[in-house]
Amino acid sequence: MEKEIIEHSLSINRRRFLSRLSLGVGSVALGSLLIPDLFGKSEEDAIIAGLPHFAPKAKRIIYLFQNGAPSQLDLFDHKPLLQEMQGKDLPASIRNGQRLTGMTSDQTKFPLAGSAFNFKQYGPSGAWISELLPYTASIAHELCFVKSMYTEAINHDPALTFFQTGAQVGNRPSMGSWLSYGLGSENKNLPAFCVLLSKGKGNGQGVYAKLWTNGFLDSIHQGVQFSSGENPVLYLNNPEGTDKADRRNMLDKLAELNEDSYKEFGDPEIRAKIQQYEMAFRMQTAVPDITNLAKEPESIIKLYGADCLVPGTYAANCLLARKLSENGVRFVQLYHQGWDGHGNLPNEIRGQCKDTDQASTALVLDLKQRGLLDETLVIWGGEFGRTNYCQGKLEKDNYGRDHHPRCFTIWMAGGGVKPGLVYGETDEFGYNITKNPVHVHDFHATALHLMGLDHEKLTFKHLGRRYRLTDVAGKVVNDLIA
Amino acid sequence: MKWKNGLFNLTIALNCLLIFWALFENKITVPAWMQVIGRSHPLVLHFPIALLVLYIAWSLLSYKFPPALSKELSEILLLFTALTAVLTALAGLLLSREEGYNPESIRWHQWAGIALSVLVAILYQFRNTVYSVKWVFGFSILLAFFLLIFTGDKGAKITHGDDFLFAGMMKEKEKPKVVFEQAMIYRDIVQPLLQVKCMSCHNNDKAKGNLVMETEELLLKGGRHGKLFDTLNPAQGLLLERTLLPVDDKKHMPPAGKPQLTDMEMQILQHWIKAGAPFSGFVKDLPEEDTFRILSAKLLGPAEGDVDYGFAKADEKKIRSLNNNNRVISPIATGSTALSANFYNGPFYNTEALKELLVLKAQIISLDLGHLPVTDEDIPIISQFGELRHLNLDFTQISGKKINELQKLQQLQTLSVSGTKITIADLAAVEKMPKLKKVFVWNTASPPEELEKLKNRKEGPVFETGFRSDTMLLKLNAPIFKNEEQIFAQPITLKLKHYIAGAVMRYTTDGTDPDSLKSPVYDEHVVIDHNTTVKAKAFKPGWLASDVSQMVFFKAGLRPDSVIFSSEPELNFRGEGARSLADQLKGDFNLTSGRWVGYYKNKMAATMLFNEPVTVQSINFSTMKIVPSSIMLPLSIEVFGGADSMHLKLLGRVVPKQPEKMEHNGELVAIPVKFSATRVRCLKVIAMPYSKLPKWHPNKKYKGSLYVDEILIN
Repeated sequence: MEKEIIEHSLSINRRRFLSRLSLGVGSVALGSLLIPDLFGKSEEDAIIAGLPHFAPKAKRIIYLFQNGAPSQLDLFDHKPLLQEMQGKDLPASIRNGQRLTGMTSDQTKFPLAGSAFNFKQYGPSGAWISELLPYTASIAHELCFVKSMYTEAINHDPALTFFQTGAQVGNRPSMGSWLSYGLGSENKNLPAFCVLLSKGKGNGQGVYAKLWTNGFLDSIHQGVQFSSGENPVLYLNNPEGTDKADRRNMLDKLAELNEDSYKEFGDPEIRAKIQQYEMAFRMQTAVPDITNLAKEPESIIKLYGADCLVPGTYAANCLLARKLSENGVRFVQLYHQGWDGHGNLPNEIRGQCKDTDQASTALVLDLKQRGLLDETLVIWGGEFGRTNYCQGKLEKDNYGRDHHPRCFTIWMAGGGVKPGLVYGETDEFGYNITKNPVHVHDFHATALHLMGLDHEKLTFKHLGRRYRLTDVAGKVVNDLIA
Repeated sequence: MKWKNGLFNLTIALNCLLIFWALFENKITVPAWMQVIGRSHPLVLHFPIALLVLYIAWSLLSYKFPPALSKELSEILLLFTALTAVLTALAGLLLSREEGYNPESIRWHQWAGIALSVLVAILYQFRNTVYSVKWVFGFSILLAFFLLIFTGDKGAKITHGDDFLFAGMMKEKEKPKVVFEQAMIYRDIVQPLLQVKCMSCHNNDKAKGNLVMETEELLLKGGRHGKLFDTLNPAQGLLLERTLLPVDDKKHMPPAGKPQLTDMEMQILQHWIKAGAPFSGFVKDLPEEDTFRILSAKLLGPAEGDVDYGFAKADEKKIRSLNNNNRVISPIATGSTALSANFYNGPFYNTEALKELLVLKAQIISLDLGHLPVTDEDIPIISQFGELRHLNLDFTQISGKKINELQKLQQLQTLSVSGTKITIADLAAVEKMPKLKKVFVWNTASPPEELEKLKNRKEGPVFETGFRSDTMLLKLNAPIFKNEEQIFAQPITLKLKHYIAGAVMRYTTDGTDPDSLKSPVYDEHVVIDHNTTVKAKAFKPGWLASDVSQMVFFKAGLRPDSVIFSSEPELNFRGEGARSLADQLKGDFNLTSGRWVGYYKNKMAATMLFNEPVTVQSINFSTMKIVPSSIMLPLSIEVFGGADSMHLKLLGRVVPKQPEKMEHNGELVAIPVKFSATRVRCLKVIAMPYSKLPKWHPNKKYKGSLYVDEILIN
């Protein structure tokens, strides 16, 4: 009898089960009323332009990209062992299966090449800096060196694309676009993301518009490339016979037409286009004032060096970057080409350093003397490092270095990073990282963190999944943050 | 019976809702009216506690009463326990979504509460089964009771704090907060940390591993396993070694399960030890970049992100209406009441725009008017923003006259007046302001050497006097040739440009380097009408003379009517076809500009045809060399001429001078080949590239390549 009772009470019949289940489902449905975004996209809506996730340390970034990959072994990563072992073969235990580029894969020997330049230690961190960068050395106490950067790509384009967009293939939004998307523009008269290009005499590698693409983000977040010529923004002046009022009138009419066509087709790009016309209209007044470098006092010209008034030079771009940043541009991206020292490296790098050393330093000092360094993050670095062995023939004073993704050095200044710090170490061959590795994703996560953004929350839903600048990886390197 | 069934159905529904919300808790946004339910949690929670205790008591006592009554009552008690438990849990969940609750401390309370609610509901559903098996019943009752106590205890800690229950029995040990200026390295930074994280086991009473950390002597003495610090190698030593081991290592300190050192505490310890573990000295005396000092300041200073100034909140609509394209007002961080205001775009600025902001003067702490046409008249308005901490007047049109008005800004911390007409004497007015920490004064009316003196002052604000350029000698950059083409048909004017105001350009046309006194000064009337090499150099007082820049100009030659490649150039370097060789356009170092024709596999050979016979006496073979890249001059250039391609004879041959060692810089070179005047309709030019590079070249076993952009025929 007892058994039957137990069985009876355990056997819920189907009707009761279903009716109770329906209650449960009903209550869940009720509960979902409190979750507004259960079925729609919403994390994106939550990103209201201009509001960081938490109190930011930096408001703006100026990224001095040294395109082509400067040799860390000739600038920052001092390895006396390479000089001692000059010409000897790189031990296989150190190379440890690292893949090679097509340029050195048929080399049978990998003769180690010590740097042709002398190094000294500077600043409280005792950072090693080579004689090629006397100006940079003079501000070592302001700089935060990361000697343990590493990346995954081994060729320029994927590596550069990786650094700029967080993925090796193109079409993802660039770092500047993410910031424009997450934080919006400070000054509505200027784009939030500007791009400046310059070229050194060294062996160069191309930069393409895909590096400052908005990807799947709204096209107002695209980087605006400034021309390297006399007029940094082309076609800014009204055509002859058109005055400001006419232009306004024309834009209003055009906007009406575009609005009609938006109503018909619903393509958000049409709205973006209207906004871009409006931005261009506002830029007509704002830009000439900012790009007019002639008004800079002599002390500033001497600070950046005489080249800073010659349009299209690295020095001029540094000065322009400061002016743009000072006027509220979130992200100024510079590219300086010519660091790809496969051969004739000592000579080429000497020229590259001469073109960039003073101006990079000047930018940091100039921001500092304006009280802007605290809120502006300056980043200097390339897309990967260069090998410790020689590509081609090793001579006494001449050598070349191939691409090396396993370790390289970048520096940052201001914007909430620790000044006077050397972070990370490489082995005595300068080939592998031995301490505190920093991946490109970690670098992105850290930069976003300094800007007050959580890299895991800055997302955009596209093709059915949420994308981030750091994809599915990245850790904030807290040790770098002051 | 029906009502019981109904109530239980409700209980089940609510439990489903509860679990659903709990799983999606991060996505819930609680509307205002539901807040009321949430806040009733502390009220409702007493019902399930009392009911459950009653139920348990009744279950233990029920054998004394008639079975029917006993069963009926315990059922009702259990049902109401289940219902009130789920209501309580739901309310609690809503309450937890409000601000100010630490998710860490709530987590256990929340899930235990949910578990309790679900457990009681299950008990009710299977009550008949459960009653009949004694040990199941006993176990369930015990579990429910344990969950109740656990949940209750965790909940109490949330409302009353961690040590609430036993606080009365503990010693009072609150310490006065140390300010940074008085903080000592060991006493105020390191010792408190050791006290909390280490000394519970390493004290006089309980010296685990014979280690006592209470005094300096005992710390230095170390314990059974050795010394804590290695005086020779501060990076080693037991203290660092043990704390750095992975947590699951047996030797890791503090032991797993005990409160661990935070990252910040780890860093403080590391840097302290690195600095030689000093036991005396003030933190403030360390150099400013010292990591230990920075960390200590963080530890002692206000919590990070403390940006709420506690102002009355400004009306958001008001802020929005004041924002426009040229004036941006925004909170200094999310949730802060303090505002910063930035003006952009000089031409749009006027005093009115500044006055409009006065409605927000109780909230604005930062005002940026840099690079705007702000005048002395605006200063009285600025001085009404009483909460200002940061004021930027860089490169405005103010003079020093009204600067004393700024004394009203009692909170001002930084003041920027660089690039204005202000003088040091004017600054005396603001120097004594109590909170002023930094003044930016470079590029003002006072000379740099006087500004420099400000730097050495011991008291008052720090003066940023900027980069001093007057003592610095830099080299000018070389003049830039703006002539677009080097080959001219008609005489052209020389276009030279220098971007630095006041730089004088001198030039020569005779191949010598320009002289700072003797060479003519460039103006825009210099005409070039024959083959000329122009050299130019820039000079300016206070600067070193520039390098020489040079450009070679060629008079346009005869243009052939057609040009044919007689040997194939490299696929990617065909210029814009054979015509590129005689289109009167020279190339620069950009090999892919479409002006260069390159040879590697084949020798260079091109044929130029004229419809009518012409008289020729020279050609200029325009090429380049970049030795490191194996781009070399031709080994020889031969020019053939005749009536047609079948009747050619050698007119001239040149063997260019070749480099004898590595040359690092590239060069554009024009090689003339001269011969006696001949009438021709067909010219053929053949140039031989290196078939093997010279021995000293790194690529010695390979060929050299040859590039040509123009062949000028005269």
